[in-house]
Amino acid sequence: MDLSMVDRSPGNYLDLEDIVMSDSKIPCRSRFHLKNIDLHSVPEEFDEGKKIELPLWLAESMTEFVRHEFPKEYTTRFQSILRADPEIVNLHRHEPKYFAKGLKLSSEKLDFPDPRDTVIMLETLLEAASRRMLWIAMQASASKINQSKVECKLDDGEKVHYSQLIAQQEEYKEWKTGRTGIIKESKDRFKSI
Amino acid sequence: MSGELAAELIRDLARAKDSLPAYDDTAVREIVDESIALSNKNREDISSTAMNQLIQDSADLNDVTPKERSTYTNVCLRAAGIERNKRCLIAYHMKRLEKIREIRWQGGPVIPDHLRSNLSASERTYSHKYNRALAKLMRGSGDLDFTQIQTPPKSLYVEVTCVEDVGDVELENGDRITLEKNSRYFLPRANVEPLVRQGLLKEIQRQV
Repeated sequence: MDLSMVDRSPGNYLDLEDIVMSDSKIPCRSRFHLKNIDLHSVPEEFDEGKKIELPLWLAESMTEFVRHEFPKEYTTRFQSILRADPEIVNLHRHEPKYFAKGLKLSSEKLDFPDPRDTVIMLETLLEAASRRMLWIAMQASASKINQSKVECKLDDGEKVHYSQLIAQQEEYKEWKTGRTGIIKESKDRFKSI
Repeated sequence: MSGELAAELIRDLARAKDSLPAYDDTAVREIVDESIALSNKNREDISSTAMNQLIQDSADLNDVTPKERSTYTNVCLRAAGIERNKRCLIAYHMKRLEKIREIRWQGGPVIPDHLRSNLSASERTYSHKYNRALAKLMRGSGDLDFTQIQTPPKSLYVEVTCVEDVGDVELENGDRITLEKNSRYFLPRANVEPLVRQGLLKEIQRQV
């Protein structure tokens, strides 16, 4: 695998989930000694090599001044856990938008020490995502399953996929019993409160 | 850090998945004011020749003084903050307009009072204009109501039970009927569909 096959389009500018995800932080290191930097409410000084946590959206714009590092959920150690048994890992606890953030970390605007680490990280994500999707599909089609126990382990993208699979199961049952075409209450709350 | 107000605004809207929260005029003004303040500070800093050279990429960060390097870093930080605020504000407003259009398609031309009070004046104007444009389109298509019957119906009449007191409703044939809570009715689908979507009536599911 090489990075040319990854879709690095900027994503939907107006997508709220993408905006929320880009607020999550990644560790960076200052390239220079910088004084009186207006990062937070008071001016700060950063020595060369000092570790700073920046939100993704800011880290992408500051490549001239910082080098980037992988967050711990995307380091080799965590990746090896994910590779071994992806179905049991509680991704939501580590990073609620795990796969979306992982894809974002392959951005050309980020400067990691070794581009091969990015390739390895993406390969692990791809394999983990495929295995977890199969597992999620099995959970969605199983009867008498505690849905909340499944959902609590999923990242936000997987939760959407899981609820779509369950909705499709329900639609299929309705079709089998001839109950398609029933008018349903809109999910938007229009009733007077 | 700049961009935090904007992030909070977006998080609040993202959390309110199926409803439309009140328009946060205060937060929008504060974000705009923050962007203006950042822009003014940048204008003050971008005045020296060295700064201009750095911005135009004709100088290297290693060749300038530490003070100029720090100033340039702050200029870039503020520029990123301004772009972030702009993105959040545009996304916030566009998402709300999308929600207003959804409300029209799901709930009919009259917005319920509890949702209307959550709209800004501009959004109410937008909703009114969107209604008019949609009505004009539907009139031009032979008076077909696109917002009703969004799935092919199995029958023209449906049996419903009343969840809340609806009061008087006028049917397509001109008759009037009073819908009372917990009563059952057999009515034309076209009249019933918007009321079911609003949660006032519930279709009775027949076992096949």
